[in-house]
Amino acid sequence: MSEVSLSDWKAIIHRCFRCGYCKYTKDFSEINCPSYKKYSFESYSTGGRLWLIYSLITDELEWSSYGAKIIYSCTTCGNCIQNCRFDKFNHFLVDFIEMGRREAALRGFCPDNQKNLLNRTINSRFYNPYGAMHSDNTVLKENHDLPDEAEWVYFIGCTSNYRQQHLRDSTLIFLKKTGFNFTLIDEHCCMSPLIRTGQVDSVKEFLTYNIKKIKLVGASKVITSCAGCYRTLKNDCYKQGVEHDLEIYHTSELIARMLKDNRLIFTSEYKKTLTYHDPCHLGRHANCYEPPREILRQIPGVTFIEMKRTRENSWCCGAGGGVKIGDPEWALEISKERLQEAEQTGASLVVSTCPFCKTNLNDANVKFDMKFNILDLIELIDKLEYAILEKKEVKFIFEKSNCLTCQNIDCLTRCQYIKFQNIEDARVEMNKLINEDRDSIVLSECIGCFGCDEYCPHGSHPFDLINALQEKFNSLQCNPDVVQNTINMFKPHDEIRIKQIDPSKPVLNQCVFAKVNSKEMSGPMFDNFQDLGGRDFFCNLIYQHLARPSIIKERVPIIIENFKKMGVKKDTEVICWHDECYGLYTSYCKRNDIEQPFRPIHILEHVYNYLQAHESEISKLNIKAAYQRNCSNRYIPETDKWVDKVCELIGIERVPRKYDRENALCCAASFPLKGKKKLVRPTQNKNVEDMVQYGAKVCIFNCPACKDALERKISAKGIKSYFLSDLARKALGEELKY
Amino acid sequence: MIDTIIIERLREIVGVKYVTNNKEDLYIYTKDPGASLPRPVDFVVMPHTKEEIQEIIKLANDKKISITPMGGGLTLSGLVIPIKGGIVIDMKRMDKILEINESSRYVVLEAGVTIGKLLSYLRQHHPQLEPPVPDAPPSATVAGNVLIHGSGYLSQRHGDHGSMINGLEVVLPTGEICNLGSCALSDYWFSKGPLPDFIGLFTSSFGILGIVTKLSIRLFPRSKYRDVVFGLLKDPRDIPEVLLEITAVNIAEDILLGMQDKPAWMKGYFFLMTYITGDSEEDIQRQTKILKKIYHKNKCRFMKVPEKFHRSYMEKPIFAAAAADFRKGGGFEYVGAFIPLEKVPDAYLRGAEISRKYGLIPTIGSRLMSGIHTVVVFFTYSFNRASAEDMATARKALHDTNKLTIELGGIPWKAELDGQKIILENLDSGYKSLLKKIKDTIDPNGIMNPGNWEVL
Ligand SMILES: Cc1cc2nc3c(=O)[nH]c(=O)nc-3n(C[C@H](O)[C@H](O)[C@H](O)COP(=O)(O)OP(=O)(O)OC[C@H]3O[C@@H](n4cnc5c(N)ncnc54)[C@H](O)[C@@H]3O)c2cc1C
Ligand code: SF4
Ligand code: SF4
Ligand code: SF4
Ligand code: SF4
Repeated sequence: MSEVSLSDWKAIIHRCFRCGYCKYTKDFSEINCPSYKKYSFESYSTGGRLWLIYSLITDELEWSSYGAKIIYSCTTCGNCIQNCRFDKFNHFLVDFIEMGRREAALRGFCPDNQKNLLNRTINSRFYNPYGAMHSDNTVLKENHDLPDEAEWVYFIGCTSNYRQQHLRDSTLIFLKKTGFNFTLIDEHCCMSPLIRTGQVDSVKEFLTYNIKKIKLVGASKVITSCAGCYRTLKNDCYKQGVEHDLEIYHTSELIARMLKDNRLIFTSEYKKTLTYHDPCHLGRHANCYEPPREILRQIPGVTFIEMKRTRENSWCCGAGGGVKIGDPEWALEISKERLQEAEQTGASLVVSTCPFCKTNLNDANVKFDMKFNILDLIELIDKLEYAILEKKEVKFIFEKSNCLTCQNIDCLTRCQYIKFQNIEDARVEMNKLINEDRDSIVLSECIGCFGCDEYCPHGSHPFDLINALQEKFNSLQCNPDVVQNTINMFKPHDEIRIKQIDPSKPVLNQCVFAKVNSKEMSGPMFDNFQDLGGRDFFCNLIYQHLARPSIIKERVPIIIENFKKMGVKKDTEVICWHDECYGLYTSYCKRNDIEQPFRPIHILEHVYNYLQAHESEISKLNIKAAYQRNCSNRYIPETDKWVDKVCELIGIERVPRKYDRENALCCAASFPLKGKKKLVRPTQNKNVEDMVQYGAKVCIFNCPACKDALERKISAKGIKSYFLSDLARKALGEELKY
Repeated sequence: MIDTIIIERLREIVGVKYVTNNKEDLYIYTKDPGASLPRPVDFVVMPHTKEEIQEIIKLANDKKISITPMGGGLTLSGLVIPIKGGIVIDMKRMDKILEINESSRYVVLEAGVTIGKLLSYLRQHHPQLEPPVPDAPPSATVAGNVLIHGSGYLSQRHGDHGSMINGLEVVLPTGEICNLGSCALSDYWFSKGPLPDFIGLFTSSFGILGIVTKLSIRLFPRSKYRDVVFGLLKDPRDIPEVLLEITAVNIAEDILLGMQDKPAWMKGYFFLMTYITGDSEEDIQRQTKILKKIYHKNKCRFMKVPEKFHRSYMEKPIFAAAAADFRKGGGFEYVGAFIPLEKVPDAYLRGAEISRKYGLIPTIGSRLMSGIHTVVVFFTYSFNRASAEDMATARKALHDTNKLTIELGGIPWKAELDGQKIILENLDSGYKSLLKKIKDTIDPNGIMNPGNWEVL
């Protein structure tokens, strides 16, 4: 946890070794601390500032306005946090600087310009750092016909409300058009400028005020289009001792999610080459890099080119940390450097997701006559046409109403393991299932590939029904010892050892593969994750194979609780290494009306994003590969696209084999458990022959069990087995030692 | 008064932005992360050209004020904290990589170029080449490192970094400029000689004879495959034999040794890490087999290590600062001692005794250089920078270690002031008098980093 209490920070700040990793981008190719770049003296590096603050708080040096100038000459961009290599220390770096500023302000050394931020903000005519007449937003509310109570509050933020009204209005229009149940409050400054400049006396009061106002309209969720407000509401509140249980979203997160859920599509083209500037507040400080990119990539016609320094290594816009007001010329110089980098991409449009970045980039654009168009992402979206799609109805339980009128009984007619004469034959069997007839042949012959769930065009989830009946009637007669052993072996512990994670940083859910597949989860692609794994985090879907879905029902709440105990929050990104886990936290949770405990990310989505971020390092593999799609993926067919995308990026041709995609054939690993040993060899042989026939040199897996089951057999045919993530690592030049 | 004149003149020379005498700026230049006590600095300047350096030197001669050249300031032994105050010349603005010669494999660069910059530049533009760099943080300079006979992952195979200098451009304490090495008569900075070797005057002399402004160092082909094979020894007396055998078959790129009493599982063992390189995985496997055999024969147990551990040792350069930080107190210094192989067992045993005597956790490492012709042993002391007592203890341990080094027939490397004193006390008198004569001749006003290597 990154809370620094005053007593703590003074006791650890001297740990800075002055080694200087913090000065550069990760690959050392450029000086990336704006302050050090401008002033060059060691005193202006992160380390220099920390050493100076230490000398001041230990009375080795006296406080002075020049000392304060050094401490205030930092945009709080967070490059140092990302690149200092001392874990458990690096995340404090900007906090240290802000604490140093508090000490300076306490002693009257806050520079005058920054003091004005305070004077204006606490003035009841303004309540904003710009000194604009306060607006309680009633007019806006009326103009946009917003209710008095709502589920969401759009927190506008001072920059959008008083300086970038077009951005504010674009947000309002979008939220209205997309049917959000939202309203506005009479908001006061989010206090970001004052926290950043160490003037914290009134911070708690303002934060509490805003939260109270939000709660008063009955909202539980907040949306903001300002990166600064977002970070303050999301991260700073608790650092300042103001707790709340509101969910905070940046517009880009919501839009990206709507696109992902197919609830929004862009219907007009935007034929421009553009680039994206990561706001420090949103990127480095809140770890939100991908949503804006996902949106940009989905706008038809857009050519999106990254700048040289992106994401964690972005060059700051220069406005933050009180620099825009403290040293406006310098702030513009910093933005100029950003725009020069944007020029190299050939883009004519620079998009960002923060009104403050937009202001500063635009000021530089005008001052240095750089001819860019600078827009906030939401303003860009405002220029587009888009359609809002009905949320696809999700069935939480097996829904028989569709079956009664179902034309093709796809679930059963397409089953690859049970043969039916014709549709009517299948309908008879389906009726048996609906009537819970224990004699349905489906119950004893189903091998549990979940295919029917994918085949059903109505989202009825027939496998949930089949599996429940298999348990009820013990139709599979699985070996009871094996079942009991498994149940014991994977039982979550009564008490778990708490290893607090930082909820704002991504977590790797290793399920029970942490030990066995540790190598596959290593290397730079996985290095930055916090790991959670072992049976206390086991997804438990294995019990579907053993026809014991009741165990899943019983244990999933425990597992979810375990994640929460570790500090995982609703918007914590959890990368699920195994398809089955991702299936649990998406499909299973939805079907069973269980609240999603965090933001599950599919492993291959992560791999894809990682590759994108390192695109220049990719050497294409140029191989033909067969994909052995695992059965659990059938719950989450929407993730199959990541296989294609990753393959494309690293130069793999996914051969159009017969048993791929919806026709995937099970690896047969679990057949013996279900008394279907005889089916193992024919099923596996079909798989292998099919790979050979389509000329695959490599077989890609995404499940260790499938890989184990087939690896030997296919290697005899000269086909090598890999996880797709392994191939991605190879393409990036990593040597795999296994 | 005199200060005002000096600062005005410095501003004229390098520009207002690049001079400071604010105590808040100077503060960090009065200290380093090592255990030396702070010493005052009067000015810091950041010149951009050799001509500016010439002017600064003229001013220093004129005003009899001392000058200390500084790269990254990361030796840990306080070498860039002036002993007699004066001007620190922070070289970071002279940061151009001027030429890469792929066929003679060298790079010509200005003296302020950092290791990080050179590494990323080569990775981007000449990925087939790699530079001799230390395991120091990326803000250390190439010049600062080669000028102190630094060492790194190429040193076992190719020698210490001082020996990889092909040529220097130096501004002498009198302001004259001279080129040394092949660049003295050729456009190619490809070789040190054959000429009377004056490059040596500027290595490990800690800036007392001039300021290097430009240099050429050797580059090496990057190997396609690389791995490290870990071994475990119980008895330090077995160390020389196994090293002799490994170096005799000539397959190692780099060889590291280490011992530390914490974590507990490491206590009582000596770890050997031999790096091998090759063209293919088979090549690596073949060499691994050879090494395993040698290990086995010489009471060194082959060790399979956890992936994370393996990975951290495969980083190039290694993130050595992690080890330096193990006390989490921001302070670290070591005696790096050049020692003959036969004394390595004693060095480990007696070094550990020094640590224990001061209640510190023995943590000693070493790297072989030019085969087994030199072993540089690092007796390391991590301490809490916030505690004066802790720092004083570290200084005592460093003092004892310097003495031990001399006793073992070795030489303390990049020695801090106290270490230099101990060396000088034991140094051949002819050497000392020659050093003095050279210094007095080249630097008649004694402006260059005075107090270092001071022969009275
Ligand atoms: C964690 C850690 C690990 C390390 N690992 C290694 C290692 O593996 N190998 C190794 O060799 N070292 C290592 N070091 C020691 C040291 O950091 C390096 O040797 C480093 O390269 C020194 O370079 P610098 O730029 O910091 O030199 P500085 O400290 O700035 O200078 C070193 C000396 O050279 C003089 N000097 C600098 N520039 C000039 C110039 N232009 N002209 C004349 N004189 C000049 C200075 O006055 C000083 O006497 C390590 C240090 C740390 C902190
Ligand atoms: S902040 Fe971190 S990287 Fe920067 S000098 Fe300090 S310890 Fe080194
Ligand atoms: S926050 Fe940014 S400007 Fe401030 S010290 Fe860190 S890298 Fe430099
Ligand atoms: S489960 Fe789906 S496919 Fe099967 S009968 Fe019902 S509606 Fe049709
Ligand atoms: S799970 Fe697979 S085997 Fe079972 S009925 Fe559905 S499609 Fe057929």
